[in-house]
Amino acid sequence: MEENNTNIDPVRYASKLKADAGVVILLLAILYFSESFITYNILSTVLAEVPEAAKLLPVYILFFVLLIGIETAGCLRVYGSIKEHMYSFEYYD
Amino acid sequence: MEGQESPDLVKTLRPYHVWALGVGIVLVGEYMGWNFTVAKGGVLGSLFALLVAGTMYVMVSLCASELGSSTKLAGGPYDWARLFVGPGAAALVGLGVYMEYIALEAADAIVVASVIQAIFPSANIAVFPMTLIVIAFLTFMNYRGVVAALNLNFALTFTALIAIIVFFFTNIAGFGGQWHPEYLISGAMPNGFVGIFAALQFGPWFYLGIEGAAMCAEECKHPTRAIPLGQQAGMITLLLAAGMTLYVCSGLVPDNVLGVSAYPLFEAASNSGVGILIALLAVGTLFTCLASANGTVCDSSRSWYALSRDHFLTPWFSAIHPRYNTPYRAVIFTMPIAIAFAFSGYLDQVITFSITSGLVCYVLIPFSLIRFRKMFPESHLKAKGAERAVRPFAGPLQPYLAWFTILLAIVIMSTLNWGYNYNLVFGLVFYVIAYFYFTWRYRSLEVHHDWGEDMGWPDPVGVE
Repeated sequence: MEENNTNIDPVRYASKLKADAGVVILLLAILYFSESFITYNILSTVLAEVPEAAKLLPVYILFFVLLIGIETAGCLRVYGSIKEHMYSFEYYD
Repeated sequence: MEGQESPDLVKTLRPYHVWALGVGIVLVGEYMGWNFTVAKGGVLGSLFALLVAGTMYVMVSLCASELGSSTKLAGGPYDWARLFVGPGAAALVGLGVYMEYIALEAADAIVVASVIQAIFPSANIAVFPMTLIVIAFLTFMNYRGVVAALNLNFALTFTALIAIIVFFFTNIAGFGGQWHPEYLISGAMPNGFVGIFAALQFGPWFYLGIEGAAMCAEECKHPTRAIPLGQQAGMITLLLAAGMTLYVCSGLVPDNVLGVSAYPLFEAASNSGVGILIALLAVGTLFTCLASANGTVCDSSRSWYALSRDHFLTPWFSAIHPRYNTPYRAVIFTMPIAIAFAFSGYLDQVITFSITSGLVCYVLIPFSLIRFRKMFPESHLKAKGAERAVRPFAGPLQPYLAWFTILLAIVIMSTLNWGYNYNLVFGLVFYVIAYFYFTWRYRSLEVHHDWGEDMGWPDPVGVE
């Protein structure tokens, strides 16, 4: 982490960084809940009555995991990038 | 040339503007259009398209975040292809983005006019003149300044998004109409496994245009924070909205109606029988179309501006307004093209052309990232001490995700063969001709490019 500029208030920066992290965590939490709820409800409702569709279940699970996993990895990188560069680029002034 | 001596674009945008620009353009896809996936592949096809296209767009937005925060240029995908692939590919992407957004603007303006006509039936409002008024109003907003335009977008988008969230939560709480599992079962897979696969062709409707969020990088106060944060927040918002929309609509509207509905969310709200939800979703439909059209004017004009600035078009279009700091000639020029699209009347064909244009971009955007990583590898940047300047945000698992994105884009494009094969062929021929034209035009120009002067970067690997 770079902290070269002496005019920067570290407390303010830490608080703003927490706010950015909070937004991302909140969005991810809602995403996990809603996508799991929706995918589970639709698939469990349909597969109970249309058993031949179960052949595609592994594909649905694969893309669900890919979607959630890649988005989570992306958000972690965004947080890491902001934390690393916030002082040098003076993000919160 | 006046355009070459003009002032720079003003740098005032923040992450929520980036979010508003991206979501504002795309949220309209939840209010209409996505439901054609149900006609092709039933509810299972629609869920499949949501997950597969969602995965592709998550990766596209990660590529866009990395490229946008690195280059910080207004042309977005156009500039990325220009810097890392070549002039022909760059002009192709610039034209693709322009066509994708202009067609969307025309479609949105027509829907706004139709909704206004439906709200005021006694006023005898004709759709086409109202469409012209909407296009003219949004062009004026973008002419006046990008902050005013994106503040308007933020308010409209937020209202339309809240409408979807309220509808979803009231529905699962039991207050927003009765959810019918039998609708899902009867319309699970009407055309079998082929139908589920064919539904992919309309999957991009859920998210089409999210890469446009990175196109305001040159106007961001801190692009290295605003672009990745705004872009990822926008992508998550769209995933949420798409899932919620599919859930409420599939349980409230029978599949044979849902597959052909012009306003699926509004139709679902109407079937719920709850007055306040009907009003909320009517307002949401109107607002999201306005926000989408507003965002597309912003992005298409930036793409045209970038093509002009680099002499693929006459430099006359690259002038910046001395007072409002907007590329005003490029903004004004969106109007006649959008009107021409609106006047044609064949919206489904125009929108399919928009999807084809988008998919061409989704092949070239990740390819630009692959080239970027190859030209400026981590070890090279470390040796030059230029990591912070060149790549302030590095996406995960690259370039493997970029290759996977290209594969998914080609697979989705191939599904247009079911029902829109002529559009697919016409679109691809159009872009092949454009590629050769722009490559030929570029050869006639004397273009000097210096990484240090133009970007403040060291030379790429192998140039020294």
